[in-house]
Amino acid sequence: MSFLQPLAFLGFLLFIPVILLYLLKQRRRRVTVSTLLFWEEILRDEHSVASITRLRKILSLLLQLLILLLLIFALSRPILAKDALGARRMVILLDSSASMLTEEGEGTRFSQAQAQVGNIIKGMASGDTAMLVSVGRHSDVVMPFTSSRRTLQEALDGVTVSHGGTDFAQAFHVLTQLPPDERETWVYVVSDGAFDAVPVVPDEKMRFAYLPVGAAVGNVGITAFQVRPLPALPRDFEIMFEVVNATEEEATMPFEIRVGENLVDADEITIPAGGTFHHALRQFSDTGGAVELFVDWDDAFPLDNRAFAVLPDVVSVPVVLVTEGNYFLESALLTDDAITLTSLSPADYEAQQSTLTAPVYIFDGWSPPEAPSGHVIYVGQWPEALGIGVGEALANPIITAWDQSHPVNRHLQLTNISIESAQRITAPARFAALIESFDDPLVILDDGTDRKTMVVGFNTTSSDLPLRVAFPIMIANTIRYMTDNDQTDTWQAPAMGTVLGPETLAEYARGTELIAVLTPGDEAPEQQDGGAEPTEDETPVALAALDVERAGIYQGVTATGELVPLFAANLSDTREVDITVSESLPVTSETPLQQMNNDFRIGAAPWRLIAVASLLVLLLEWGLFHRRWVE
Amino acid sequence: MAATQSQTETATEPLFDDDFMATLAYLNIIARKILSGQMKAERRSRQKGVSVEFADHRPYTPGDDFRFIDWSVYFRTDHLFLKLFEEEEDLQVYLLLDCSASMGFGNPDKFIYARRLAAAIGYLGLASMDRVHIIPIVDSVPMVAADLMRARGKGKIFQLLSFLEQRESGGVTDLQTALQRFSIGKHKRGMAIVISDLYDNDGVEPGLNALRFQKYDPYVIHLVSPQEMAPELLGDLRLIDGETGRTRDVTLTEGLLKKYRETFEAHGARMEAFCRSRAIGYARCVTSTPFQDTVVHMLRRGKLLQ
Repeated sequence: MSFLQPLAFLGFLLFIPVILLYLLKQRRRRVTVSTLLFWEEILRDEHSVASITRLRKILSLLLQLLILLLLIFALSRPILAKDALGARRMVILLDSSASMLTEEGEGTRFSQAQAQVGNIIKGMASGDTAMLVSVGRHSDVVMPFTSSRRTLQEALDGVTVSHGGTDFAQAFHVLTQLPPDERETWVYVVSDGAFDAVPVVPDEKMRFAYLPVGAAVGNVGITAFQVRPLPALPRDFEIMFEVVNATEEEATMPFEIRVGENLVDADEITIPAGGTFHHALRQFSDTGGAVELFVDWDDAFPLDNRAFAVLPDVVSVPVVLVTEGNYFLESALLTDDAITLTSLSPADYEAQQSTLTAPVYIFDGWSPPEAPSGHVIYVGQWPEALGIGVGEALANPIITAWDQSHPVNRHLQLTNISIESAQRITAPARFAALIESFDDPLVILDDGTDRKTMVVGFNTTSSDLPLRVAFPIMIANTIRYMTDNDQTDTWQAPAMGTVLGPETLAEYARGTELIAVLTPGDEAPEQQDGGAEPTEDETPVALAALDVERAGIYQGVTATGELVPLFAANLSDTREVDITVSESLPVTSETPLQQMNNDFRIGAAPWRLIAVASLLVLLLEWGLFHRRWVE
Repeated sequence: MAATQSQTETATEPLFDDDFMATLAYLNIIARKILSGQMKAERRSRQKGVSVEFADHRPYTPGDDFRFIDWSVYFRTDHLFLKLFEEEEDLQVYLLLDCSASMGFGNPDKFIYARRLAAAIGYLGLASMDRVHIIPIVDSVPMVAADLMRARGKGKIFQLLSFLEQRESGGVTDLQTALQRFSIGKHKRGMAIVISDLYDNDGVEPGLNALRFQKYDPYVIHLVSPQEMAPELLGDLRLIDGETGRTRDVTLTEGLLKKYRETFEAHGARMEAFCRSRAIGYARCVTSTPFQDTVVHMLRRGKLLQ
């Protein structure tokens, strides 16, 4: 047995006044009566009772001392434990992964785990030190080794559950990094064990206790949800999702997909026990916004029944096409919703040149003497100022290579393209070949910082390329690449647990200036009038790094208080969907772990029982010596 | 029961006021109705003396008055006998008033109650032309010439009241000894009314027996106060005897109080049984009862002033 508050034993000093008060004996109340005749007659009979009375008084004193003893004992916070010798170094690994949000009775597994850890903290004796580690996707040392129970409790209260998976391997790695210590290290793992077995290399002086929490079983959850744009069709997108049935029975449930407030798809799916359901569908939307998938299945872990994505708004780019007439090229540009086309003849261009401000110019079969102030695509003809050498024509060149890693060539399939003839060009070093026919570049690109210049070395009208799917895609890719309007990357949702820097956040903002980012569950600030100028305090500021820890839509806040959907994060973790509680600690180790078993010390200290016992003795003493029994 | 309680009434209320005098007049009327035809000169003394009522004969001895020789008996028997006559005289009423300290307890004060009772009975006696003697019993001394009060006739009532007003309770009274001393004193025999709380460690019974043996007609008025009958005390106490000053530490519980009440009642019952068995008049008076009611009750039960 050890005591958490040994200072309480100073309370034994109170025995002195109690005994002194008994010895001094309180002065009796003096009452004058007419005669003692009858009292003496009674007390003669009661003479034998007098000695009993004295004994009763001694018993009263002993009971009072017993009450005091019990109170002091309770205040000293005794701990009963078989293995309570010596001070310990304790490491508490608290699972804060998403599965800990599983509802269990009135609370969650995490609330149960917090209570367990609270008991461990209460069970710390003087000399014990403990470290609290929150184990989610990352292992965070919430509180380094400290002997302060209060500090630990405050740190424990501040731990929140992440909406991600568990990386206990990292947590156990922390154990290997602990500084050497003379004391034994007691490792408490408070978790539902819903993670794959991880390797552990235990220290000789390390003892483990696994405190499983939770009981609920059976869950259906979304393990994948992705939305991606279709090439050359900016308003079309594709949705793919995956649902896992981690129950032991076949599950049939409806699902629905919404874009903003609009229901775009709903159906019923049936998944066999332990099975997985995949589904992909194509959708069209005029506007961007939040996309939500909801699987209507009632289980104890509702977090994975919803998944989110953000559909970016389509930003249209003004493009000036200067041509004598190219039906295919014009059609490809007109069909792209992300392009606002202005088609001019070379004469009109020369007349209006000074007034044009388009970011992209396409010169088809004609080139001006001076390049305009914007990105330029030359098709079939280009100015000499570019310094491109021109050789003899290539007859029927075959496309043999194209840089598929380049954004311009994304999704392109350029095999079996017939080209009647192309110019053999010799490009300066600043140009990179995007499409080649053996050693001869057919399409080159100058990736300049201020201006990008693409040169197509053949006339599209003398090729069947415009008849291929690849043509509009290539046009769209090129325009977006040049104008930085390629939002394909921003469709990708960041993985849970990643940290996004200001630059990445700015990319998700797609040019919108933000003053803050709201994570899911945050309250939106009050929106200002649309026309109001931002005040000095609301000037866009550099955004700090953002830790993606919660599932849902992350929104940017503009200076006017307007909310802009940035991206979505989802649990999407197959292992976390299986919420079955592991009966044993899922670890692998070459040497068996030293278990604490039932010897480990937790805070179920008996002080409450002792306090109740003192109360009972107090009642007994009062009943025996102070209560007036009225007959 | 506490001394302080008894002092309150003594200090605030006069012992005999106009109401009290009216009460006496009322009692006199009541008494006349109850005792009609048995008043003055109709009560016979046990003394033999000169009167017209023949009582007995006795042999003549030299020196006897010749006038009382019954000559007709002499002629029949040749022996001289004297005729004896019952002597008609006033009834002697002795009011033996216990003035011990214990009488000063209770609320109302037992001693106040006792004096009012003595005054009432004395008044009735005076009204009947009886000889009324107030004999305060202090410190086992029943009579000291200066402390005695003798009176006859209603006109003496104020003298009697004044005498009673001057009495005070105090000291230790050995009632048994006091009664025994009184009984052997040179008094004319008569009615001996003992007004007391009968607290005597040695017992009052020998004293009452002494009165009987000395041809007195004893009557006991046993005064008790409600506080003595059922004291409201509990806890650790040091009880102090109001007369002797002796102390006794006691832890009073409800159980002990119950025993006290039983013992107290047993004492009263024992005294009553003793008196009944010896044809001694006995009346138990609780001081919470108005004294005039007590007097009327005693008159109705008989043996008082008959």
